[in-house]
Amino acid sequence: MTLVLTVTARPPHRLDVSALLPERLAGLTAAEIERLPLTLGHRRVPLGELFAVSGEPGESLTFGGACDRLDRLGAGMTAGRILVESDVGAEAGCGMAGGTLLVRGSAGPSAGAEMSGGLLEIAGDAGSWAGAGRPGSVHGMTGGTLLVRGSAGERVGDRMKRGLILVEGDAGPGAGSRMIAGTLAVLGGVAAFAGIGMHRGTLLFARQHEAPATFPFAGSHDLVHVRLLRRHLAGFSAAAAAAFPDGRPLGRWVGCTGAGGRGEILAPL
Amino acid sequence: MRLRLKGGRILDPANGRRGESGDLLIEDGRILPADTPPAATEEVIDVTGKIVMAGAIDIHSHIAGGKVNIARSLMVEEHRSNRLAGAAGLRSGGGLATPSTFTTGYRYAEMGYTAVFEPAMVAANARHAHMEMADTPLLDTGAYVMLGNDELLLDILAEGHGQGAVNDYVAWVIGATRALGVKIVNPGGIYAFKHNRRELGLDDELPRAGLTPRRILRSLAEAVHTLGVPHPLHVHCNELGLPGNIETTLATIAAAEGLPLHLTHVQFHSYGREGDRRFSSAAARLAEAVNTTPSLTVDVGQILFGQTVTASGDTMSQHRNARLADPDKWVCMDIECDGGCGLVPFRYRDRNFVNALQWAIGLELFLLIEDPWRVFLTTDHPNGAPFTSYPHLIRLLMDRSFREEKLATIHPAARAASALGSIRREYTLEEIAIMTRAAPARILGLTDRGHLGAGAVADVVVYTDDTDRERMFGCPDLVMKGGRVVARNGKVTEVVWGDTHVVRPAYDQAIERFVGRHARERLGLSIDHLRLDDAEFARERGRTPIVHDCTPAGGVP
Amino acid sequence: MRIEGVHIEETFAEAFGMVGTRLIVTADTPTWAEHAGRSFTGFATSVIGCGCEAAIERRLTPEETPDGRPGVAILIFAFGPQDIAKQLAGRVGQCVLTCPTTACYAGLAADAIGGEKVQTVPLGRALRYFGDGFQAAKRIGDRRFWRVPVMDGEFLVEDTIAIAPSVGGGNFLIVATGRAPALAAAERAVAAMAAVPGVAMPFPGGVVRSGSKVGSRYKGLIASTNDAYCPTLRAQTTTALPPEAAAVMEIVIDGLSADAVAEATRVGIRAACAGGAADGVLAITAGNYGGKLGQFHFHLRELLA
Repeated sequence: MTLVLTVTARPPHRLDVSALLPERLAGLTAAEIERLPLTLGHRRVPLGELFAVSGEPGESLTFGGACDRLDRLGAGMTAGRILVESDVGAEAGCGMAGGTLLVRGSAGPSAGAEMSGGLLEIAGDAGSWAGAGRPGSVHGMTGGTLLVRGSAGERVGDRMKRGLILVEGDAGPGAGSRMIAGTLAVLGGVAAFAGIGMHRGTLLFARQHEAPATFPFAGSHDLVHVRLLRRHLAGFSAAAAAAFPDGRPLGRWVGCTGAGGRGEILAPL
Repeated sequence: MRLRLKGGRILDPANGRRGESGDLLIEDGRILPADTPPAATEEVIDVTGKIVMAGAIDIHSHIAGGKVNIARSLMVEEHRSNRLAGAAGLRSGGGLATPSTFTTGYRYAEMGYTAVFEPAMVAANARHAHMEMADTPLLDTGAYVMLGNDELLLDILAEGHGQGAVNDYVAWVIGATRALGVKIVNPGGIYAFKHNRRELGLDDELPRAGLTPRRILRSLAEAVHTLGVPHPLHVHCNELGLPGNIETTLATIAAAEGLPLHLTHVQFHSYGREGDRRFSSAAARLAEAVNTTPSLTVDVGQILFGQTVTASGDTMSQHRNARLADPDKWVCMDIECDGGCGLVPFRYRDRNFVNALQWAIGLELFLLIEDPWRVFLTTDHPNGAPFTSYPHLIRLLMDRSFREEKLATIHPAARAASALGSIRREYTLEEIAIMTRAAPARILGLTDRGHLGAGAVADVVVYTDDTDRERMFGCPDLVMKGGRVVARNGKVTEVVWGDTHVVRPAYDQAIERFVGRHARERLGLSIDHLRLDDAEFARERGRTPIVHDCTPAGGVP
Repeated sequence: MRIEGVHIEETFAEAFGMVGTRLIVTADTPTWAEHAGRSFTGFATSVIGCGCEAAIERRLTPEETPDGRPGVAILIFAFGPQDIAKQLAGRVGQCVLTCPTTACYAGLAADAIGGEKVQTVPLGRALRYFGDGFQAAKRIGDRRFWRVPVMDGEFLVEDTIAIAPSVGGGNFLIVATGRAPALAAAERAVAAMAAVPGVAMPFPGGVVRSGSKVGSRYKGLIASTNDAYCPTLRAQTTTALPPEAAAVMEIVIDGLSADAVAEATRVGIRAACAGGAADGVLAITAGNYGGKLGQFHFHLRELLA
């Protein structure tokens, strides 16, 4: 049973759709769903004014049409499955605790911010602050898995505490900054300032990388936990499995010493 | 149109009315004499059997100014999780411990509060504080300006310009910042903190020759008294939160040498150093001092369990508390060399020995201080708890069995260390009316608020007498502000705007040269930047502040 | 009942409830995994005397281990959760942490045990302090590990390990015409039983020659030699042996389930009897205490029917 909400006309403003979760809509009829109030700018509009409703409410929810102005899509979801067929706005899957959110296009800023469980997969690119904390929050992601098939913007994984982020493309400046723990793997190129201010955790890079000056070099090692990470990543990404062959030593840089941290950057020499 | 509140049981301690049934007549926003002959047309609201009181007054609640706004940005979590949409004439807002201005007004009014006073306005931030108060609906507001750690006052004292110069400076600052009173926070301690001191006792010398907290305190208390400012110097003592600080608190009372003093959030200043854990209740000693010192008033600063944020000008104590921050983030900062600011999120836990004993100490103080005219109901919002917990606090004071039920659930060692279980006192409704209405109005010099006598502003609250006092005080039937019904059954129905209360004591203009030089040389500003103009705020709400009289005292006791 | 001419006695093996778990130890080479496994399972024959019973269950190929390196699977059994936790901490700490290149994983997937609420005991959690503050936790998927820095790199060890209700003390005895035929039959049995998953034969080479009875003529000794099965005592005690018997070997079986123990018993007896009476094997019997002490009874004839 899949409910399909198709954007009929791209809304003129940002639209917060965090209320539209499979678990919340499951018990409603199509007519009731069409009447749900949404806040558009300073107006309250019924959902039916912005979306065409089809299919049947249940565990699964699909957003069709142009979703790039839909913010907080899937935010706080705990179960079920959401598919977004296009690009999506800011804070997609923010704070999600379970379930699966798949974005076929690219996501705006703060995708998967503060998520604590579940799987968020973005087929395109992620904006800045993916898997990070929102402004003022003490923690970023605290669990779950965030997959970015494209590239991630600035500060991916900032203040992350637990969980896994895999970026198959490139990562922007400050990847894993202020990270508390967790794992951020990047298969493509990584911009400057990776790991700045990090306390613990692992930044696993598939390409050679010049670590910031606050990360002293700690030698080249074939570490067992990388073998485990590779096998875990292989469940999501064949490219990741190929990027970290068993037995190949990785350089290890420890920091961020600027924050008294004991995290690590692992990258081939 | 005249309004008659008919048949209520009127509790108006200021006018000796102790719950006798009667009518209350209201016209043009004020209360008419009871013997006014009936008018031809009257709107009658039947409140037979209900309890009728004046609007409640909170004399110490951090609702505006720089630190409150910083606290809001620090407490993002509660603003995200408590978002209130605007509806039917109400503005959107949010927050719990740090509500937005509009939400602050709504929540207070829904509990029957019609006046709230911001106790820690930094002079340099006065404009901001007033802007926020002007944006807080339904409430009368006013602020106490913080002095005692500002460079200029310390200059005047250290350079020996004399008490007259202190008086003029204090009067100038009060007028320029549109203050209602003067507050001193950790006398000299915030200044000393900036010079790397981490503790400062009453008689410790500041990093400035010849100055001690005692001298600063004494001089300010005298200035406030001499200028005739109705509200006595509002004192946040040295050594907030430190075990054994009762000695400093008692010494502070003595240091006033008979001058009127208001000690604020005394719960945080009534700690002993006894027992295995070197932390004990000294509530009985403080209560004894209050009971025997008629020139002294206090508010309690009760803590209640749960999440809040502590917001204080006391950088020294907040820096010390920062390691307890929960969530783990905090702000301590200087404000224009004028004062400090420290914000530390806090979660008080009933299973934590220290927190549990703090809770008990606050209640002990309420119950051991005999005169309800001299002790005020506060949580030092948001430091001890958000103001929205007042109904719960009132029930703790009025309902002994409820209190003992709660006492049974706190940390057992704290329970054992507290005398609370042996105190039988229960506050009466009349005592609550004194403590939350009549007495605060009197100590602030507000002659036409806090009572229901002829000529008073018609801030009126109607409650259903309910043995569950939390429910009763949390949800009044009717709240009127200036003669308009603004809330029914605990929900705001109409928004009106309260007044700003100020005093403007006289001073010798010569002091402006001194202040002007300070502004120019140290701040790079003209003195005119420091002085607020009523017109700035009149543009906002079309009102001018209510200026209360200052009657200069003849001499110093 | 006879199998290949060998008499199967009408009796049963009596076994006890224990807790047990599987540990997977990997290393850079099979040799070093073997060293760790041997060391870990040393002095672990009898729970009474050693605190636990443990044996290498089998060798693992790189494809079978969590990290793609060769390894061994170890089974360990003890009376209760606290006992097994203490044994794990001691043995992993002294025999695996110390052994070059190794890593140590919980080999019993919590969800595979199923049914009742799974109990776990600390593994790496108890050992991590060896890292002196330099240790780091790493969560990968649902599993949590500790990385303890050591002189050849890092010792990786799983945070906790699930334990399962298990069966200890399953057994059967091979009665033969001499030591050589008894031993040959026992070796055949152990080799066959090694292919049964979830069982361990904790005695040296899987075989025990010092079968015991409960009690002793000496005060304070709770067990002593099983004189009824000692061929040299035939004239001094009431013997349980046929006249032509000259040697008896016992195989003790611990398993993660009663089914596993039963299967191992079946496989073992069939292998022992494979050469038939002609090879000198006279009878198969089993040890019990009259059925009053242990919850598990493995009736030989029922198993082999």
